[in-house]
Amino acid sequence: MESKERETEMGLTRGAGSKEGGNGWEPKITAFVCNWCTYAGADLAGTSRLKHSPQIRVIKLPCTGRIDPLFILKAFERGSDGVLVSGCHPGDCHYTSGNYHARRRFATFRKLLEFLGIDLRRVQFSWVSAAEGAKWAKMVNEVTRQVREMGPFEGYRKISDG
Amino acid sequence: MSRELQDKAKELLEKEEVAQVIGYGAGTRRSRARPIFITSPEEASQLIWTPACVNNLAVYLTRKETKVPGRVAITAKGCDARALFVLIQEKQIRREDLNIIGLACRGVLSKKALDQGKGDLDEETLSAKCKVCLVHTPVEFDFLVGEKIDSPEPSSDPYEVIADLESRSPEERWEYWQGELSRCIKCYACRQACPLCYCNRCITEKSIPQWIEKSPHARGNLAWNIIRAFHLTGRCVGCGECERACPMDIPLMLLNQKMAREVKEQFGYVAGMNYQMEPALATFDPKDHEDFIR
Amino acid sequence: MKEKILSIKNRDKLIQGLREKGFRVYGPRESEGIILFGEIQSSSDLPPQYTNSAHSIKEFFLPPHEPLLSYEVRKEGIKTHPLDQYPIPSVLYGVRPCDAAYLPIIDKVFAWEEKDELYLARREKTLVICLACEEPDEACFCASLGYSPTGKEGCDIALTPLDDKRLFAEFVSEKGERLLAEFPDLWEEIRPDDEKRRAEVEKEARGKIRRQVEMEGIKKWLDEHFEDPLWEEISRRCIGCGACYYLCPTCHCFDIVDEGNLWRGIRRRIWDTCSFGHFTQMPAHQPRGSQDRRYRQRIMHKFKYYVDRFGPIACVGCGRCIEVCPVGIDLTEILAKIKERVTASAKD
Repeated sequence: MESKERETEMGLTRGAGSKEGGNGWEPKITAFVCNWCTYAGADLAGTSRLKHSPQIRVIKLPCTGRIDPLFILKAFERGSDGVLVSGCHPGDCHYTSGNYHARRRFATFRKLLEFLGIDLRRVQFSWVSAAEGAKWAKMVNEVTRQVREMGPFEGYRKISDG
Repeated sequence: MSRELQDKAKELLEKEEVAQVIGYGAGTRRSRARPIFITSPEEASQLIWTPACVNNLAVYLTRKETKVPGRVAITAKGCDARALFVLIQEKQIRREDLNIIGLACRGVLSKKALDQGKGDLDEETLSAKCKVCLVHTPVEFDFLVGEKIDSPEPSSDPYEVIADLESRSPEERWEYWQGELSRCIKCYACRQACPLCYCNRCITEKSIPQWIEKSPHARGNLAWNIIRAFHLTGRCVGCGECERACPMDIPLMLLNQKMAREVKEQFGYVAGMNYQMEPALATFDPKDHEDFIR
Repeated sequence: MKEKILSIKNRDKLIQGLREKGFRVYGPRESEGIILFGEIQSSSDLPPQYTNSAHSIKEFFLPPHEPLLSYEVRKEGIKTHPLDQYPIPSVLYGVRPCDAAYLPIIDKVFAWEEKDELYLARREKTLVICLACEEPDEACFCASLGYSPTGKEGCDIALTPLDDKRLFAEFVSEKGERLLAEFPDLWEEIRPDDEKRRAEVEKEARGKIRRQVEMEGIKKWLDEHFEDPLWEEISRRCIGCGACYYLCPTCHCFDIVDEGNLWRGIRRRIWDTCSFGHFTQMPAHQPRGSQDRRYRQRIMHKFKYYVDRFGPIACVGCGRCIEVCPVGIDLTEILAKIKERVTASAKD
C-alpha cells in the first residue's frame, strides 16, 4: 500500500478517528494554553459544569511565551483542523512579560501562515483568565463551530503523502 | 573605485590595524566576483568592486573557518552592512572588532543576468532587491569607497506579487506556495548563505524529537520554509542571498519581504538600521496591538 | 552496434508510441526560464534550444525522498510493512551524454556487496535515450574526463542530430535494441555520408568546450596529500550550502529517517550530503568538523576513493557545481591548482 494511505491508516496525519467532512466528521482542535490563567480558567469551566464542545485537546504550557510557533505547525501536521492559543491578559502574566512576547510573536506568525494559504479562522488566539471559565467555554465552542463550518484541513491532509 | 578600495585595504594591513580583509575578487567565470580573504598588503590588489559583487560577506564573520584573531575589515554594501548591524545587535560580533569598508552602491546584477553572462547594470539586469533598497550608502562605516548616494524612492515594486497574493483566496495562496515549495530539496543553501542563520545547531538538526522533518516532501518543505521565514522575522535585512543561493529558484524573498513589511507595519521596525535598538521580536511594548486576540 | 536514422517526425511518433505502450516519458521542460526533467505528453513539450537541465537525472534512480516501510511498535514487538516500490516503466528522453555517463559509474556502488534493490529496479525499468549536446556551456568539461558531447556511456540509445530533420541513432544496449523490434516502422537506414556527418557534429561540439583540465598526476597527488594547506585555501569561501552535492549526478549519499511518532511511522530514504556539518557527527567524535575537511572529502571521494574502489572517477564534467555555487568555487580551478603542484614537484 502507498505510504500516504499507510500514514492515514496509522492515524499519523489526517483522519485519525475522524471521517471525511459530512459523515459524522468532527473537527480536532488543539489548544495551547498557559498554566496560570487559561488552564485554570478551563478548570473552572469544568468545576462549574459548563458545557463546551469535546473536540478540544488541551496542551498545558507554563506560559504563552513558551509557545513556539512550531507547535502550531506540528498540530496541523498531526491532524488538527484548528488551533487555539490562549493565555493571561496583558499585565497579568505570571512571568511578568511572557504574554507580551507571545503577542508580538503571534501577531507576525499568523500573517506568515495567512500568506502561505492557511485560513486564519483555523488559528485563533484569546486571553482567558483563571476566573473566566465561561469565556473559555465560549471560546472553545466558537472555534469549534467555525472550524466545523470550514471542514477538515484538506490542505495538510493532501500534503501528508510519501 | 576598485583602486580606492585596494589602497585602503593595503593601508589597513600595512599598519596592522586589521588581521584580515574580507572582500571581493575576480571569479573564474566571465564578469563574476567572489569572496576573497586577504591577510597581506600585497594581496590587496586582488580586491575589486563591480556590480557582480553580489555576496553578503557578513556570513563569514560567524563561521569558525573564516574567523581570525584580531580585527577584521570587511567590504560592505548597504545591505551587507545591515546584516553586520543585526549581528552586532545580537551580540555575535563586536563593533570594535570590525573595520567596515562601506561601498556606495548603485545596485548589483541579478542572478539571471549573471547566469546570462551580463556584466552591465541597467534596469533589466538590476537585482530585484536593489529596486527597493533603502541603503545605497551603508548606514555606518569606517571608510566609504565612492561618494555618498541617496536612496531614491522606489519607482516600482519588484515584489508586487506579494500584494497580488494577499488579494487572493487562501486556497489560491496555498496552491501557489505548494507549487513553489515542491521544488525544495532541503539542501539548506538558503540557510548557509544567510548571514543571520548562524545557529550552531539549527532547529532542523534537532532529532530528538525531529521538529522539522528532513524529507523534501511537501510537508517537510512547508515546515522548513515556514520556520526559516519566521526565525528571520524582524531580523532579515533583505540581502537576497537566500534566493540567489537556492539551486531550485524558489522565490524566498517573497516570504522574507512579506514578513519584513509586516514587522514594519505592525511595530515600525526595520532590521539592521540601528544596532542600538532592540530587535523587534526580542522586545515588546505593553501597548502593542492585539486586534487578533479575543 | 546497430545504427539507424530517426527522423524528427518519427521521433515524435516514437514518444507517442512509448506512451501508448504504458511508459511514462520524461524529457526536459522549460518553465519560467528553468529547464527541468518532467513528464512530457509529446515532443512539442520539449524546449527548442537548451544546453542542459538544471538538475541531473539522478532523481529518477535515487529519489530525493523515498518511503521504504512503515512500522508500528506494539506490545508484541515491532511490526513493519513494506510499501509499494514498484518502479514505473519510464523513458528518459533527451538526456545529455554527460548526465547519462554517470549511470555506469554509480551503478558500481549500488550493485556492490549489498545490492540496492530499489535503485537497481529503477535502472532496469528505465530506458535512457540520449540526445547529443551541440552547444556546450561555459562550465562544461566532459571532454577532459574522457567523455564527449556525443558520447554513449550510460545510454540505451544515443541520438545525434545530423541536421534539423534527422537524428543518427546508435543502439547501445539490448534494452535500446528492443525499440527496433517494437517500433519497426520508425527507423530508417543510414545513408553513406551519415557516419561522417556524425563525426563532424562531434568534432564541432568538442571544439566549443572551453574548459580544459589536465588530469594527469592528480590522483597520485591526492594519494599523497591528505594533509595539505591546499584544502583550507580552496575551501575558505565555501559556506557549506550543499547545492553542488545535490545537483551533482554522481553524489549519492543518503540518510534514512523515521518519520512519525514513538509508536508508528514511515521509514524513508532521503538525500544527504557530506557537506552538512553534522554528517559525520558521532557521540564520541567529529572527524569532519570544519569545512576544509568536508571539502577535502568531496574531492577525495570523487577523484581518489571512488577510483581506488571502483575504477572510474566519480565526475562527468557536467559543470553544474560550477554554475550553482553561490561563492564562485570552481572545480576545474581546484584541479588546475593541484596540477600546478604536480608539475612543480615533478620539476624538483
